[in-house]
Amino acid sequence: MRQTVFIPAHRNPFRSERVEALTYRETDLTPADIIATCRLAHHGRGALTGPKGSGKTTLLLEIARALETQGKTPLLIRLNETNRHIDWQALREQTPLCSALLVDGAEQLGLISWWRRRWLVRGVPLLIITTHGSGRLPTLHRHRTTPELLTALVDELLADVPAGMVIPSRDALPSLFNHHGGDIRQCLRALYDQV
Amino acid sequence: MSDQIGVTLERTAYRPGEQLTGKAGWQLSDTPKKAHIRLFWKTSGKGTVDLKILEDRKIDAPQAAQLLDFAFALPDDPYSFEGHLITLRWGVEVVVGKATDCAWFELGPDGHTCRIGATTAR
Repeated sequence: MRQTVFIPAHRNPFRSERVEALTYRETDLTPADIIATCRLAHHGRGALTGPKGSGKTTLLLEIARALETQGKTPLLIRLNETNRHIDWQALREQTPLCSALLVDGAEQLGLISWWRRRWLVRGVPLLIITTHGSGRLPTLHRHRTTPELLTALVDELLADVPAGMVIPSRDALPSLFNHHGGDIRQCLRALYDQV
Repeated sequence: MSDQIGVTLERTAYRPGEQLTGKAGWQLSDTPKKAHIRLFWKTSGKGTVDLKILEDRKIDAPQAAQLLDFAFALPDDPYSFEGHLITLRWGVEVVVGKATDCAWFELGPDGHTCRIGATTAR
């Protein structure tokens, strides 16, 4: 009988903490470049656009870290399908204290919430959002994914796995990419189950 | 001289309510402004990471080189467990300036991690 090797979650190379620690690599632009472009060319307002799982959140988190390195105090709001609401009272209290507001998943906000937010954050020097489509703010960077990008990320995640661990085949990655419509996050979640 | 930091525990497995003891030490090139020893648990796996710091002990006036004993009274739960989708691990972390080290231990009714779905030996 074939024995299945049990890999506990904290040793799975595709566990979420490792996936979230990956750095964005699809563009030569650095987070500092994007911050500067937003300030200088778009009056401090801009959007990272692209489909699900294309690295928008990853890049936004890198922008947050870059702002902290610059001595700024960014406020990060993360919205998703299960968390679509902003705590307006908290936002009202915190926006005067922050020098940048970063909103991940701005497409979750309805039109009224969007306009309410615009009024609240009018004094914040820098506002960068991520959203699936363009239109709400000037596009700073349009994300796209490729099978080669998935392969590079998988190679990075598998670089230090212990010998003997069963790992997914690289040859299957292009079809996995197509199966998930280019959503890199879903591809990595699927690979978690294959280890 | 490169900075060195370490934390060790007297044992690596404990029962709920027991007292955990250990030593933390560091040797840094500069005197650190802050030093902390933390007792925590965290999850790893397919979903979002959960983390809870049970106790965060601040070391007053930390020195560039220091060795100290510590003890934490462990709570009754949650138990350490390992599954394919999620793992919960207990740890003690020492953070001195930018240097950090962590020691993991098991907390369970028999002094061991509960394993879920581990049908064969690893």
